[in-house]
Amino acid sequence: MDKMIRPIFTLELNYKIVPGLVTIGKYDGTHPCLTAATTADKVLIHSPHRRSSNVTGRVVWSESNREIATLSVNQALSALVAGKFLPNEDKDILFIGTPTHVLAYHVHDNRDVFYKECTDGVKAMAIGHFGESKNPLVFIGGNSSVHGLNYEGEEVFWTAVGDIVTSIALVDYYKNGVNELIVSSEDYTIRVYKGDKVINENVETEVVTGLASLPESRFAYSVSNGTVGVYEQEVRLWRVKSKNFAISMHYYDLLGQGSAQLITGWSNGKIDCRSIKTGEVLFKDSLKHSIAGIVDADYRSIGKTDVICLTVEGEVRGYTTTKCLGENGSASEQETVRDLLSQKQQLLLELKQYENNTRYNEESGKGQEDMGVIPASTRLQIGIATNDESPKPHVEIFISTNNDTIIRAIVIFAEGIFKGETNIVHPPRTKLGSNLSVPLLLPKDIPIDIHIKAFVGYPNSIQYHVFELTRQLPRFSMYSLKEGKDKHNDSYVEFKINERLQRICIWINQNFLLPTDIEYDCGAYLEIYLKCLRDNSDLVLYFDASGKTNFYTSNLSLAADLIQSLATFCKVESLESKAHFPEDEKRLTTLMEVLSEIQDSRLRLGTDIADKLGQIRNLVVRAEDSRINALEEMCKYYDELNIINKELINGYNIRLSNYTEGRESMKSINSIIQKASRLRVGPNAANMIGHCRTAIKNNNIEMLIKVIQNGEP
Amino acid sequence: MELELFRVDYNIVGITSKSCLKLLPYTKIGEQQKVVVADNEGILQVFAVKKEDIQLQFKTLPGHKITSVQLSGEPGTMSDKIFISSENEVRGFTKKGKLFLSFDSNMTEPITSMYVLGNDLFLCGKHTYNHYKDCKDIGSYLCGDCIVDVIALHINKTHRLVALIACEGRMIRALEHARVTLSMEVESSPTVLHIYEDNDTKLVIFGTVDGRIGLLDIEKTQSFNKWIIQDNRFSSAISCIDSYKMVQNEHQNIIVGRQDGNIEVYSINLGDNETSALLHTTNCNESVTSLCCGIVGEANYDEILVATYTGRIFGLTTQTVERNITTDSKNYYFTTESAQKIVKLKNEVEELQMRVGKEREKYQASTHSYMEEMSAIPLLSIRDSMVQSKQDASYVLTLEVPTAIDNVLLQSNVPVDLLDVEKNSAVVSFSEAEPHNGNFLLATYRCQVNTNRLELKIRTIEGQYGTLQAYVTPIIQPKCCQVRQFEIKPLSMHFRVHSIEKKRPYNLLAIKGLFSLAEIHSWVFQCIPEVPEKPQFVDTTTTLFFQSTFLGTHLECNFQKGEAKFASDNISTISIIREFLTKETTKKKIKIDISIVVNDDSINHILKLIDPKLQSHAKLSKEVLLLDALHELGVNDTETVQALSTKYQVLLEKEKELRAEFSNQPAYLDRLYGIITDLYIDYYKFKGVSVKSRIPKLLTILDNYDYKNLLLFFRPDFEMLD
Repeated sequence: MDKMIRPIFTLELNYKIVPGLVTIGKYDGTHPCLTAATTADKVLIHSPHRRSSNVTGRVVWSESNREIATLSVNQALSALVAGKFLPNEDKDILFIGTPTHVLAYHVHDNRDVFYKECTDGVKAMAIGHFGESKNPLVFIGGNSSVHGLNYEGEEVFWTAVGDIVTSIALVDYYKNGVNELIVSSEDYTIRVYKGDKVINENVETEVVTGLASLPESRFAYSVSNGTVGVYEQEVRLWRVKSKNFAISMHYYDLLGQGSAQLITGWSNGKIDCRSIKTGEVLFKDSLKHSIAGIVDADYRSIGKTDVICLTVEGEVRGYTTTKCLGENGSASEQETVRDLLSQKQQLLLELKQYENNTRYNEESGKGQEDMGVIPASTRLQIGIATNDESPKPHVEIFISTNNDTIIRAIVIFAEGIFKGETNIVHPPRTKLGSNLSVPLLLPKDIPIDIHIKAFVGYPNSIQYHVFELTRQLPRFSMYSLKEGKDKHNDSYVEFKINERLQRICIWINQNFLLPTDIEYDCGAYLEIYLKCLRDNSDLVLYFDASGKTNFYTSNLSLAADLIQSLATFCKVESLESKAHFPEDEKRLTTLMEVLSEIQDSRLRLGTDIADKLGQIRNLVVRAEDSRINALEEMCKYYDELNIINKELINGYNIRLSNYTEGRESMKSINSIIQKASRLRVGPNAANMIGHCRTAIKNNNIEMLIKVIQNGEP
Repeated sequence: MELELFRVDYNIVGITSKSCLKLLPYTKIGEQQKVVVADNEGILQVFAVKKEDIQLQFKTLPGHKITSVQLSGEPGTMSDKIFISSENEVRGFTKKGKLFLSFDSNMTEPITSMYVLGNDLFLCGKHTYNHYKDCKDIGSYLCGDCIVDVIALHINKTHRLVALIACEGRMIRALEHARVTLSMEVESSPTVLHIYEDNDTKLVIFGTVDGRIGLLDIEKTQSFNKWIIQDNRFSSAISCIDSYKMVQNEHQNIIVGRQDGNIEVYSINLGDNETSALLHTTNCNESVTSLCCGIVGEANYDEILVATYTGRIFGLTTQTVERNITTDSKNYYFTTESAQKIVKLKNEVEELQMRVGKEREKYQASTHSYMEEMSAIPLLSIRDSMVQSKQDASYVLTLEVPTAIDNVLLQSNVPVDLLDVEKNSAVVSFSEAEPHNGNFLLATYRCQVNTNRLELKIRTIEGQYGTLQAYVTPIIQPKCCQVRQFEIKPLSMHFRVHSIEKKRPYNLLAIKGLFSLAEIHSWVFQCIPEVPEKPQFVDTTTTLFFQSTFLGTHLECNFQKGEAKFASDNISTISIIREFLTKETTKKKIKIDISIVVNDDSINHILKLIDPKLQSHAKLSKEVLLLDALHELGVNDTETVQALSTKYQVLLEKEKELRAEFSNQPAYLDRLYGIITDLYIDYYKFKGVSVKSRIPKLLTILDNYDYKNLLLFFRPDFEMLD
């Protein structure tokens, strides 16, 4: 019979919860309290073990439910995390992130540990030990950077990320007792940091929405297209895709197997428990509403933790380790029988297919076109090339059969390059032929696996043979060779790489989609002229026999991608380069100026508000005073009040746009820094980021540009 | 659930059709019964289950697809003779496997359904009904509708022999001596008939495509009596019914198998007005083709034996499986019998794997040889259906393959919307539509593992007609895919009814020309769903009535050779028919005269019909807005909620339902607007005015909806009476 694990407790909070903003903390050091953000932007703390109700201050206890307290921060909530943070104290600290600030709040003592402005916003947070630090740090991911703060609120870590941070996790990546930082951002990337150094980058097919650390140097990730997967260091163990989205992931030994399983909460209210190693579903249950978060804690005070699921409607369910399923597995005898029977059925069916085929060939001579009988020697030929002649240059996949059969349709499965996961070519009946070409536009420079399914038969068939092909498109597919030699672009990056030019040729042939392989015979240098199919811009690769290498392109991120790819290919540990990108430098200068202007005006606006508030107070008193004494005066005061109110609203809008502009410029600056750092490899890259941070702090534009050019001030 | 049943898998056979499974009668109460099953490969087999092992009694050689299995016997003896029908032949076997009858019916069509009662044999093809007594033809009947099932019984009072045929055109006909004596109209197309015998009463019940079960009263009122199992939401079609005492009770239970794999047990009490109560439900993820109740796996334990489309034979037994769990460790352990069974199965699978491996190599080799060999994959058998779901005015498309589906590619040359189905876990991906290439919809469904069955929901737009194609690729090697085509008719949102209100203001369309009855019938058939495939020859004029699922407007069609009349209270419907007929007749170069009478009052009537829908939708969206606002206030505590006015309190209470309703019909308003816009354009088109330029104004009026304003916009010269 079906394996059943029934919840051991359920309760209703009667609050609506924001998905993802759920945590649990032992604010008194022993009793866990489920903490979540409500849709009304309040922090809800559920303390079923509360004895005394003498805690006052910011926290407001609900009158209807004695176990629930709420905390208002008067700002939108964007992240929530709790954990041990202060040295020599076992009480958990609650961190509340808002779009502009982070509050470290000591719930038990009702005091702020610190309240710090985060101009970059707070999008994700994580607490834990990192690198050398003795005390836990809190990591705050913003719109384009990650900060690490210690218990005094000092910034001890900073790095630029390049896009909005979506999730942060701390994982012992090398199983050496030291945590590494894993950051996912909206540019589909998961980056692993050891200290300041990026040690690994994985590009996914969509925005990575969540990360969860797992034991044994593994971590789980979820993607906005419904994928969930697990990495063990650089290796992806598995991934699955469904039509719903994973909201929360957590590890817990639900089945009593001695090692934990991955528990995932989905947007349709499903929770499933999967094997971390294989992704096989071992148990699933379904709640009525979307999951808001999954945590584990000893919620029943029995000395053992339970896994707790919270839905957006405030329903809480607790599950605990259930042993009754036994060690030998899983399936009951009826299930085994059922599985075997379906295997048998499948095999019998396949056998029947072959038998029929043989019979058909023996009695050949019946032309049954509609059944989709095709010559056995039918093959599918595939050619992939760049096409820069069409008005919209693209990569072209040309597929043809080797006889008079036709291709009815082609389905290409690939992730990240289409609107969905497939691209379908289904020509109208009149245009059917034995060949088809499919244009592909690749938005990013990443290697892509494409799975092609072609339906081959005759025009009147009702059944077709399906040919399946898999190809990998090289990373820089969207670049084609260019005729003639133009003047070099004035933006370039220059570095030295000690590698034979023959090897460089191999790298080029592997990573570009060129009509013929490039070969190096002899000569002092190798020069390749290319054109980008996306924007028709030029790219020149120049390799000198002495090792001096120049990439001429106006696209900073392309230069960075090329260097990273080449460095990986040549296994270079450390690489320093000189960059010259006048456009980006100019942009950087303007952005920095904008930023400092904004900072100035922010101060000015701040004083203005204080001023207006004073006036308002004054007017309200006067107006109310005249209500009693001189009624005719009242209107006048309220009119004035109205004017000031409007001014305040105007001021608010100005500040808002100011803030947005500031955030955008900060993001652009960080993105340039991040790309520039990728022009270097190894410690040089980390150093460069450090220097940039100093330059920004000192508002030293010259130094910043110098760092970007040379990698050091 | 009041009844707990446990699934036990017995065997697999080939693909099965409906009524392919029977249980041989027992000689002693409580004794295990033998299973009779026939499949599409033409194999009839009888087996018994002894200690979890299958003991085959006999098995015939493969042949033509077997369409029906019936048991019968001489009156007064046990019904242990097995009759099978395939093509247009009927064969009879004894329970030992001896062939005692081979009878060629000489019917023009292959037999689709059969019933045997004593010496009487009833055979039905798609359109013919034949009655044989002692293998002598004693009568036949030709039916315009498609016949789906046949049964026969002796009426209690008169002892007359009456045969009943279920026809797709929402009709159940009773025949005596091959003459129709009764035509019983039902609301929905019947799929299966069953005789419910309980305490000496014999009643006829039937299942429908929309998942209901109804009762017929043949003796007294001679018409449809009532629905006994009825769900308000759309549920899957009934594919088989059985009655049995699963629970010790006064009355027999009804056991129902559905196309979506649901097996349900109901307790009913026909004397009472009270409807049925659901006792048990299981889903097996494959469509159920046939089920029988009896004792199979273990003596004295009742069970439901089920056959699915893919050929799985399993039982749902009242015997608990808990005997396999030792009390102390709570672990499952394999009983020796089942362990043996598993080992045996494993060996079989291994052997098959070897054979398949060899064949695979051979096939691979053939693709590399230069001989002129062909690669022929036999046609997959795919079971599909596209059924109208009246509740939300959409179509439910189901595809089922005997093996797991890898992916399904959907292509349509007309705009249709794909709606999300909760049951369907496949990952859908839309590819860019290319209207210039005739691809208005291109989508793939990538199925999760072990999905044999895919259910999709499609919303069509009336007036836009064409073909929807599904390319189904199962996971089996060598890979192939099959196309299934589904016609989307111009008036896709209409269904047939038996009568319409005569009082409504109707617009008329009349055509005259040199066309035959067959031609006009085929045009109507292509234009409107649920039209019988063949014209009825009995009457000179055929009259059909239809109703629209979305608005409830009516349509009446009257046609004969050289003349056709259509009447509808919706001008748009008339306009669609006119366009379609003009196109078809021009194609055939037939000259026709068209005359149209527009009834201006029908505009008021339609707008009145739409009015409550618009009002309630506007109210709903307003309430949802209010709810959002209420949540801004952060009212969650009961005490704060009580401070609100009752209106808001009620609103908060009903929140879940309101939101569900709201999210269930995202494009509802757009659809209504579309209908009104079409109506406006069509109305003025008949007046010879093009009003394209005034559509934006119509939309602004709709956004600030008011019945009177809208009516005035439609009919500026119309004077309101009040």
